[in-house]
Amino acid sequence: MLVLLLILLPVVFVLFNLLLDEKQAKNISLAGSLTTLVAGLYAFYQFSIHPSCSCFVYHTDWIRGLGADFYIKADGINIILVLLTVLLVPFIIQSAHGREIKNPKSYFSLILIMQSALLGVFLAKDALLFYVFWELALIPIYLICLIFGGDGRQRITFKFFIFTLFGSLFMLLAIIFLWLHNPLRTFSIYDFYKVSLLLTAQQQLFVFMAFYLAFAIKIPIFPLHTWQPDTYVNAPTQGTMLLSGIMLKMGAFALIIWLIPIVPLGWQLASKYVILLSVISVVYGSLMALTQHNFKRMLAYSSLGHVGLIAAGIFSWNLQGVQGALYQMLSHGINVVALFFICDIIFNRMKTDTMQKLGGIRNVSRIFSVLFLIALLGSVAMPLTNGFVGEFLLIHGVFQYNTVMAVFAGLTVILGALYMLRAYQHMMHGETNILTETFGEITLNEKVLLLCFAGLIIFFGIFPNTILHVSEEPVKQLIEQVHNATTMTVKHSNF
Amino acid sequence: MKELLLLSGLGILSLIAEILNVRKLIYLLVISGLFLNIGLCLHDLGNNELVYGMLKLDNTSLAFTILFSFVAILWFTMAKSFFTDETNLSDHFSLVLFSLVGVFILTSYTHLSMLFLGVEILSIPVYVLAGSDKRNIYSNEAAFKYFLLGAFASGFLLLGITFIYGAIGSFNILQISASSIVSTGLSQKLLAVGFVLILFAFAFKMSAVPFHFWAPDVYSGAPTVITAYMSTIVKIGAVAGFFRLFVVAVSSYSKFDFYSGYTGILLLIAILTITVGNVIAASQSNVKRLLAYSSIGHAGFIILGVAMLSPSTNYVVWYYLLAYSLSSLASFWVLLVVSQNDNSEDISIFNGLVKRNPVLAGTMTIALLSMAGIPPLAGFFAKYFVLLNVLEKGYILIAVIAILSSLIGVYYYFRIIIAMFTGIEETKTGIKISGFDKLVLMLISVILLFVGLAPDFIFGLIFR
Repeated sequence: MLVLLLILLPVVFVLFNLLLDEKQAKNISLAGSLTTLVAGLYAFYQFSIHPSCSCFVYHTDWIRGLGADFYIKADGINIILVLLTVLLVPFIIQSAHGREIKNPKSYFSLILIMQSALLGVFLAKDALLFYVFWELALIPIYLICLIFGGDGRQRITFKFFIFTLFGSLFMLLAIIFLWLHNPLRTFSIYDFYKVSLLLTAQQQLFVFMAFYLAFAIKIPIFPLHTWQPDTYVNAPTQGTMLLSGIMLKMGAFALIIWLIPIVPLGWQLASKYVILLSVISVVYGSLMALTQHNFKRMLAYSSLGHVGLIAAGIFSWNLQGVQGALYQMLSHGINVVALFFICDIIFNRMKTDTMQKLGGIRNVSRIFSVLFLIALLGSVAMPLTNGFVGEFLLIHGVFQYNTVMAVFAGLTVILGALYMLRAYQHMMHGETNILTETFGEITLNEKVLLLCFAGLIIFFGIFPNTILHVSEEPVKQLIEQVHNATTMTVKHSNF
Repeated sequence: MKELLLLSGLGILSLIAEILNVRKLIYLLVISGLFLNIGLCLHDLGNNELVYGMLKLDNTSLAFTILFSFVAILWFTMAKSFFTDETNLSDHFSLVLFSLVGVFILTSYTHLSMLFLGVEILSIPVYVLAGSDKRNIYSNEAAFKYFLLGAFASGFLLLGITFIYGAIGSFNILQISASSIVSTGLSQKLLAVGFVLILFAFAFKMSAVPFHFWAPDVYSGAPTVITAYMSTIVKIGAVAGFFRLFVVAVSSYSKFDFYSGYTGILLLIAILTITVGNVIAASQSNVKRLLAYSSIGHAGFIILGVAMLSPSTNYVVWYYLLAYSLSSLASFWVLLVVSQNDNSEDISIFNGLVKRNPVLAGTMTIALLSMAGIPPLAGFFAKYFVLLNVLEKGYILIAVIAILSSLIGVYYYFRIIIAMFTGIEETKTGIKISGFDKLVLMLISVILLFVGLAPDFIFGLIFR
């Protein structure tokens, strides 16, 4: 029941939002997300003590004729993503404090609906339910970007929508295909894991590609990323945070749970190419970030590089790679939301985020420059920050798969340091100019939020085991399962 | 039998309402009569009543009756202004009610003469209604075009019925079905031609490609309420009629040579209807025409659902019709209100609608999302069920074509959504609607969401 509560809580607060006054919308939503945070933290704590508690499963009939169930369950893998979601949404909502928003009631309600759908995506264990949540998450973010975004948003958000919908429709085809080959005629993920034994390698490859299309567009991976930079830059700050902090984790998460274990042979056939694409997106994203003058756009491309590395780690499919991917999803979520918040603070005061026009902000606001530096170091994977743990494990994982790939994937750290420090130099160091003199001190709210981010970044950098030990067993099991499936068929074909 | 008496009774009552001087009451009477009709149907479920060997009220036909009665109630709520403009009030009522009788007969006939009667009783009032905006030349054109081509289609239908009679010697679809077992002395050619001719007649009524040319002109010429009527209730009737013939009679000939040719034609019609409808809709800037073409596309999906004959076909088709009629009705309703306010049907009238009336914009968004097939709304599951059957039969290419066409659908539905949320409105004045209308519109949105989230509940209610 606890897991059902997690999904329902935000929706309940949406109803409060609709009934109560417009001015209260932000506070009610914040209260909603904080309540969910408490529930989520409690769930995480409970899970680390006794993971087999029945409160982590909710299973009931949904569409009997199809064998689709309303089946949600927390396990060692998705609980991390749940933690990420409940942790970030309060920050995202509070980051809008003091900013002018046209229609707060619908804005914050959409954020809460989004949260509910995201939690649904992570928790669902029934393929049809997963698909429904997956699409449901798209509508609120689309509306957030469409109604509250910047100039030219119609075209940009539409491109984003069509791209993601195009991918999801192929995922739907793959899900139906699996269902038709499932003798039990259910959508349960555990039954889908068994279906793979009945499929030929060719069929698995087909399913793999259909799923990959959907997930790779969402993550995004080169060359399907073209919707991403424009959408990030154009969306309102909170929309960008939701997109980069949580939503793109949907794709990476789905790779671990819904792709590789379901079609192990498909993965085996395609892994070379998909890792190559991921590494290309690492290098491409980092190089593109180097050439940007606009801070927000630079963050968008850097995000492309980081998630490329996550995908590469997952596709290398070993303990370090997958564990690192899970950890990095959490860290990257925190870091990128912090950085986009910093970008919003700067833009809100300076009305520009072109890095060359800024400079010397350090002289105006010391505390801001320190907190910015911490978030930045997290992003460039400095030891003792959360980014280090994740990227280290990821590169270690890719290294085990292929050394050359790992060398190129490692570029993300070097190039990341390059473009991030360069950006920091441009904006914070140097002489103050006429523009930046007006920067002033940051507000208490901004200070508190950034301090929290800094605390999280360092906490997860020093105590990675709080997270890693939770996911270790289930990840081992999944890897074992895929390993068995692939070696079994090899023996079979030799025979 | 009771349902038939009730509907015709209501029709006759509203015709003589002028004489009895109960004009004011008639609106309420009709609505409560339709509610009563739903109650009667629910009560009759499982009885399989035979009416003089002409009609058979089995569960499928009752399910369709419940559906069209429900949609009719919503339609009457929407069309209030159409009945309150003081002119010709009672004949509008009776025309609509008589055409409902036609729909009812189409859902439950067992005798081909009833099929013909049903089609005619359904169509003739609609010919008149399409031209009911007497001073508008386009309305006149619509009525004339619809009548002329409709009469042509009726000719096909009659010819087809005659051919079948020639082949089998019976008008009863149950006997036609039975003849497939003892097929001595059966003229296959006559039968095949007969079935195909009836298919063409129905394709015309369902506005399927290539028999769709009348639809856009008639839909955009007729008054908007009548367009809504044609694209929902008339379509339910036509689909139910064809569904019955196909499932009961035609499909029992599945072992015969002509059957594969027949299903080939049916699939071709379905695919053409889906693609042509969606592709042309994408280039429309008149919203009424856009909805007309999109309704052609949906007809294609429904035909595809029928063609994939499987044990679940009746659920699938019924569910699709439910999802489609509700969203279509809601979108026509919003269009009606907005176009009356701005005296135009161009897509630009939707610019900035969210600021002028959030309820209208919200309902329109949900309706369009549902028609575009975005989960968890009803329209998604409707398409999903159809695709599931298509893939189960192994037609992967058809499934891909259908999916790509619905992606085109997303394009033009989203043009309206984008206009509503970001367009700069030309007239800043808000649009007022009554509290009751607001409530019903929100109700439709909630139903669309609920039907999507819990299809089992609806199936359990109707197909016990």
